[in-house]
Amino acid sequence: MTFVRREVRKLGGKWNDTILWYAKGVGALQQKPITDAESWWFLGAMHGFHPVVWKEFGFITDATVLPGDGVQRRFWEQCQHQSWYFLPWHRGYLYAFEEIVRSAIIAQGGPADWSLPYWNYSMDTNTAAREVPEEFAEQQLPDGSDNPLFVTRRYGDGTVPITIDPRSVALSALEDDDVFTGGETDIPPGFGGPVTTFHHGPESETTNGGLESLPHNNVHGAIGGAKPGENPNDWWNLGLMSMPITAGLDPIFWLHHANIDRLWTVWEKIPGHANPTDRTNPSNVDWLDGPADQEFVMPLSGGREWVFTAKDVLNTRAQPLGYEYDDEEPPLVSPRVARRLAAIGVQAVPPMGVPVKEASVNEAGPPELIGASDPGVTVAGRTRLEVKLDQPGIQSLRHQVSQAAANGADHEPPRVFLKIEGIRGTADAAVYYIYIDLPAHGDPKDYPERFAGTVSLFGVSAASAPNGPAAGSGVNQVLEITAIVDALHLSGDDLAKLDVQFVPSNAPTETAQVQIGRLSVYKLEA
Amino acid sequence: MIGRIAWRMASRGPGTWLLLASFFGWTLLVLPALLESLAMAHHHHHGHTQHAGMTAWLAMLLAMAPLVLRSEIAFLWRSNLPRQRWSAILTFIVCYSLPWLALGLAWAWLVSGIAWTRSALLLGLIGLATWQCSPLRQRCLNQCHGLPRLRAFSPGLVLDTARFGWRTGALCCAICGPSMVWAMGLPDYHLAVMLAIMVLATIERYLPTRRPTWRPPHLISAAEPHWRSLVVPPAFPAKTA
Repeated sequence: MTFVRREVRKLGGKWNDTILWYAKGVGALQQKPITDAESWWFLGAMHGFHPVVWKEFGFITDATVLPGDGVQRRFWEQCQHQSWYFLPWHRGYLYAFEEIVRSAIIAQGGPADWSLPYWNYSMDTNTAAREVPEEFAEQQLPDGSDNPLFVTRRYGDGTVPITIDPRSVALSALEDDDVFTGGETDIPPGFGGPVTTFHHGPESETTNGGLESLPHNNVHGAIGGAKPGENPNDWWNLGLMSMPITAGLDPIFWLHHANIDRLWTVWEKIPGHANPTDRTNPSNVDWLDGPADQEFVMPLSGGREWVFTAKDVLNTRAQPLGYEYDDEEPPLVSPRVARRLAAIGVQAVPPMGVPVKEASVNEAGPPELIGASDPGVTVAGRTRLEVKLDQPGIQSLRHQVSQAAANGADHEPPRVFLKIEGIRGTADAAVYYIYIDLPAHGDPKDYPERFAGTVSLFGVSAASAPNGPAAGSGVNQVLEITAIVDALHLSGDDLAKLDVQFVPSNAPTETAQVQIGRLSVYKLEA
Repeated sequence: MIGRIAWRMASRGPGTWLLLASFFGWTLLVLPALLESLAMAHHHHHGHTQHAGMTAWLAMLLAMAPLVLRSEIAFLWRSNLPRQRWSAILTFIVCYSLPWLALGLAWAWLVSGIAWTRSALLLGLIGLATWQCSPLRQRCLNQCHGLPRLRAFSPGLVLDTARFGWRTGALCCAICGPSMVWAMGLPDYHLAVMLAIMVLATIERYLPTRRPTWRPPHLISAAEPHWRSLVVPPAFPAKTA
């Protein structure tokens, strides 16, 4: 039997059966103690756990009996972020969760074919799609009992209903990230993320992959948010979805991740890419059979365990997964290089059948630094930072773009990336919009052509801890700014420097304090 | 398993070149003439032995240091403008070597001033074991996982890179220096012991950070199947209001 995961707004009216049974299933799991591997609390701790935070938030007390050390080591805190295991691990996690919830639903007399819904917040035809589904905001179920889907620590930007800005749910990862794995120096970061071992522990630097960055991280910050009027730099003011150590405890988490999982499936189906190995999953055995240093293990209903690797979750219709989405239709996306060449006005293209050599991970040389800011800057509110560009590097870039625009191209001019290095802080809910060369007091919404991307601080506090796995190095974010730099050059800008503006996405982010190690600009030659 | 992962980490990026540098260092160490010098350093105490001892010390540094510097060298390569990459790496290496040279001078003085009796070596081993278990050493190991942010343009670039090299060298001296001094004092098999120290130091360098506290050496704990759990949780300070 193949289960079908459906979009939450297409299930019928308010409190349709699927959502109602989800609430009842979650409620049943919440009644179980944390020592039970099928409990809500155990499943949440598999994504992340911290005793201090969980006590403050009221999920455990000093008297709570936790699972033994061996069980915690085997199951808890497995979540993979800033890693090429981000997508396969979360797919396995979702499957185990869905199987346990379904079992709890069946035990209460619910439908045997119940499937986890997903929340497609990126439907541009439906503005309301960016609002948290209303059932999650109600304190009572239709029968008047407490609603297990409601959590108080879901703050958003302080307004009701919580609505996500369209910039935070953009699908640029689907459109622009042809390659799954990040390149050297994480340039480009790749659709699925950089090569790591389990949980990116031993390496000091860590970079978000394309889909993880946007929309995944942004949605976490935009939904979780911080308590209105309180300091967003203090962890006790944050929403559950804002931090990895509590995110799995908000029932909306699972609908969000089902959508991320669906987008992975959709990405593979997008046609029209130039390179046959594009939009395919890695064939590297380190990924397929990995991670080598620690296995992924999930509890299943009835006390069973499931150990898996990435290769076990590539086909959602195959066993043991056995599910599909009601909408896996890929969007119409023209090849990235064609869009770029058209934008810079390339008239002549190679003869039919001869592809333009792309500046992609598969074909390019290693990235080169061509500019950087001073190190160690603080972002507080709307902040403008200057990146000095190195003239030899930038002259070569300008020359190639001009040549391509005038004479056509058999290879793509260099692509340009902004790497925001060493993002540190404690305001995990903060989300910034990044603009390049925006007028100092101009309204960012008036300059969509200068919009470079977003930065979410989801998970940053863990990466900022001096004795944490990243040794306090923070996380990196890579944004492609090729189109902006092309346009600046063609408009006559001398590209001596770039002004990078951090624009807070909402009121809580206005008061967040974020440290940036350095802004670096890299070019990637074809 | 852990050795395989460490090897993969050490051999990525510039790992091949660093491996060659290490091989060259080992070649210098095992050359008969150097072995003879080394023997002189141990068994005769006159002016020439200090010179020979320093030569051996530098060869040992070249043999043992490259593989643990894979992250740092790769970081310098990617975070500098192409025309400044080699000068930055050279600056780093020179400044990295300074603390080691200071330690080498101290070692050469020890060679000439101390009788390496069996009891002295045993006493050294006890001190070494204590140091290996100490929280201060773990703190130094944790520090190695953090990379600084460097200015990309001169003159700040040179200053930042020099500071980075010096700091890394000092940390490495603190982490591995005591065991290397002890190994160099061994009358026999010191090359085999040094090779073992290099392998263990390379593995240790790429293991995750963990809470600094008194405990058995990293590798004994790390041999547990789920050493991920040894990573200290991120700091969430007590609520203040």
